[in-house]
Amino acid sequence: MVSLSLFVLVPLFAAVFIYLLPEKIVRVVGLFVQAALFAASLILFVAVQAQGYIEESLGGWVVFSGITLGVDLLSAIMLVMTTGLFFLFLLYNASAPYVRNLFLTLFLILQCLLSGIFISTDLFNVYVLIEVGTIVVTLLILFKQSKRILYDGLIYLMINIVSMSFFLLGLGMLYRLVGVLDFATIGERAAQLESQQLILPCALMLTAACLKAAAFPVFSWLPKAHGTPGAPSVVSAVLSGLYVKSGIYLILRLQGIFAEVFDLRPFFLGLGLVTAFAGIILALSQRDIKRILAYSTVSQMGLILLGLGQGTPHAYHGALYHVINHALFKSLLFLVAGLIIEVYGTRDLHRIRGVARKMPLPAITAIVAMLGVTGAPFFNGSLSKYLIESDLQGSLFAYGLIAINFGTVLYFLRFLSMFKGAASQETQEKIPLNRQAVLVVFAMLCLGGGFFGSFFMDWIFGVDIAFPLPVALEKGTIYLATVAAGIVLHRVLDRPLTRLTHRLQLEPGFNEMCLAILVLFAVQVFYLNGFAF
Amino acid sequence: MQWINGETISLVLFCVGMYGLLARRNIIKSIISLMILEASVIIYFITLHGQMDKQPPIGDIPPEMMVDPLPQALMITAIVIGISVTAVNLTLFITLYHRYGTTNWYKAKQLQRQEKKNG
Repeated sequence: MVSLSLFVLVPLFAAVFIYLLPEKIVRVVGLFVQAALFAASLILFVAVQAQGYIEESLGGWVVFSGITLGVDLLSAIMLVMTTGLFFLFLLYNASAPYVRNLFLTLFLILQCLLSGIFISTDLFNVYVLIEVGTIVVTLLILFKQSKRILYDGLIYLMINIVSMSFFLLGLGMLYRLVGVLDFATIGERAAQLESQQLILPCALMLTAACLKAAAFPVFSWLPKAHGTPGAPSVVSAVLSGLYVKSGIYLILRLQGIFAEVFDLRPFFLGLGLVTAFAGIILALSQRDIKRILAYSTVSQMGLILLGLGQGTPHAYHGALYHVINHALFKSLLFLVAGLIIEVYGTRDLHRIRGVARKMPLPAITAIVAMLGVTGAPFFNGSLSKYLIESDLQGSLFAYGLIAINFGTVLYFLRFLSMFKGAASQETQEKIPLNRQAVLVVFAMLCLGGGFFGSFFMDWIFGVDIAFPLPVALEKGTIYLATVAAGIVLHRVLDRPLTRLTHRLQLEPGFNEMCLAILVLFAVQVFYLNGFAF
Repeated sequence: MQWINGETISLVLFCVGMYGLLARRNIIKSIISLMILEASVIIYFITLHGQMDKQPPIGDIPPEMMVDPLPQALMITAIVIGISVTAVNLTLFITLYHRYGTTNWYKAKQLQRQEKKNG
C-alpha cells in the first residue's frame, strides 16, 4: 500500500539530490523517479476505487488535529494526471540543452507542490502549497530569457499573491467562525451557521479560486504567464495542462464545503459562459501562437465552469473528463508550438508556413489535438462536450455552447493556417525519437479517449455513459456544419475580424487587474446575499 | 464590544493595502501595499480567539484556561512565505529597473512591448 506522503516527499528529495548530482546522470535519475511515482499513483488510483477514501494522518495524530492527507476519487484522478503528465514531459525534454540540474530541481519541486495540493485535506495546507507554487512557477516561466519578460513575471507573481492574500483573509474569517481547517469538518459546522456570517469568507476564498482558474474578469495574468517567450514549452504545457486545473480543484472543494449554505451553481453557469466567450474573442486577434493557445485555455476553463455550474451528475462527469482531455490536447499543442518556435525562430502566426511539410509528425499530432479540442466525433473532446451540454437542451445555454464551439473552430482555423503552404526550406526537420514518441502518445490518448470513451468513463469515474448512435450522428453533422461555416467565415472575414477583435483587446495593467479582483469580489458578495439557502 | 480590536484594525489595513494596489503606479509602492495586505491578514489571524483571562498553553495548566494557539502557529508559516515572496518581488523589480530604468508599471509595459517588437 502506497503511503500518501511519498507523493510529496519523493519528488522533493529527488529535486534536492538532483541539484547535487553530476550532470550526466540527472536526466536518467529524474526519469526513473518520475516513472516510479507514476506507477505508485496508478496503484493508489486502483486502491481508491476499491476503498473509496484513503486517509493518512502525518505523525500519527488524530484526524483533525494534525495534518491529514486524504485521497478520494477526484484527488486520485488528479494525482494520476499529475504524475503521468510530468513523466511524459520529462521524457520529452530528456535531450533539451537547458534541462540541467536547476531546471529539473524546479520542475520536480513543482510536481511535489501540485501533488500536495491535490492530496491535502485542509485549507491552510492548500494555501501554503499554492503560494510556494506561485514562486516556483514564476522562476520557471522566466527560465530561458530572464531579462526580457520581467514585467510579465512580476505581474504574474504579484497578482497571484494578492489573490492568495484574499484567500487567507477568507480563511481567517472562516476559522474564527468554525474553529477547524479541514474540508469535511468545516462543511459540517458551516451548515449549522447562519449564511449571513459566511458571505464574506466564501466570497473572499471564491475570488481567489476564480483567479487561479482563470475566470472572467481576472484571467489576464494567464496569457502573460503561459505565453512568455522565456518559458520552455514543457513549462507552458504544465501550466495550461495542470496548474490552472488546481484552481478548478479549489473551486470544487469550496463548493463542497459551502454546498449546504450557498447555491453557487447559477454563478458558475454565468461565469463560465462569459469566460468562454471572452477567451474566444481575445484568441481571435492574436498573432503570437502561444498566446492563442493561452486564450484557448481561458475559453476551455469557461467551458469546464459551465459544466460544474449545472450540478447534474452528467455535466459534472463531463466537466471532469474535460479537465483530463484539456490537459492532453493543450499539452500536445503547446509542445508542438514549442517545436515550431524552435525550428522557425519566430512566434508570429503570419510568418510561419508549411509546417505540415517540414515536420509531418508534429503536424499530424497537432491536427489530432485540434480535432479533439473542437469536439470532432470519435475524439475525446466530443464526449466531454456532449456530457456538458446534455442537460442544457433547449435552453439559451445550448445555443451558447454551439456559439462557443463555433468560436473555437474559428481560432483554431487561424492556427491551422500555419500548416498549409510551403516552407522556405523544404528539408524535413529531424525530431529526436523521444519527442516523437511523446507526441504520438498524446495523440493516441486524444483519439483513444473518444473511441473508448465509454470504457474510460466507466473505468475512471465508475459511471455508465451511453453514446447512442443517432446522437453521435447528430453531433457529427452539427460538427461538420460548424467547421464548414467556420471555413467560410475564415476565408471571407479573417482580416476584418482580426481588426475588430484587436480593438476589443485589453491589456490590463497591474492596477486594472486589482480592480478586476475587487469587482469580482463585490459581484460575489451581492450574489451570495441573494442566493443563500 | 471594543471597537479597536485586532480584527477591525486588520480590516482597515487590508483596505489601505488594497487602495495602494489600486491607485499607485509605482512598482515599489505596489510591493509595499502587498506587504501591508499580507501584514493585515497576519494581524487578523494572530488576534483570533484571543481572550484576556486565558493563558498560552505552555506548562501545566488545565485545558479550560488555554487560549487557542493554532493561529499563531499558522502565521509563522505565513510570515515566512510573505518574506520570501517580498524577496522574489524585489529581486525581479531590481532587475527590471536595471533593464528598463523606470519604476512605473505602464512605462515598463511599453518598454517591454517595444523590446518585443524590435525582436
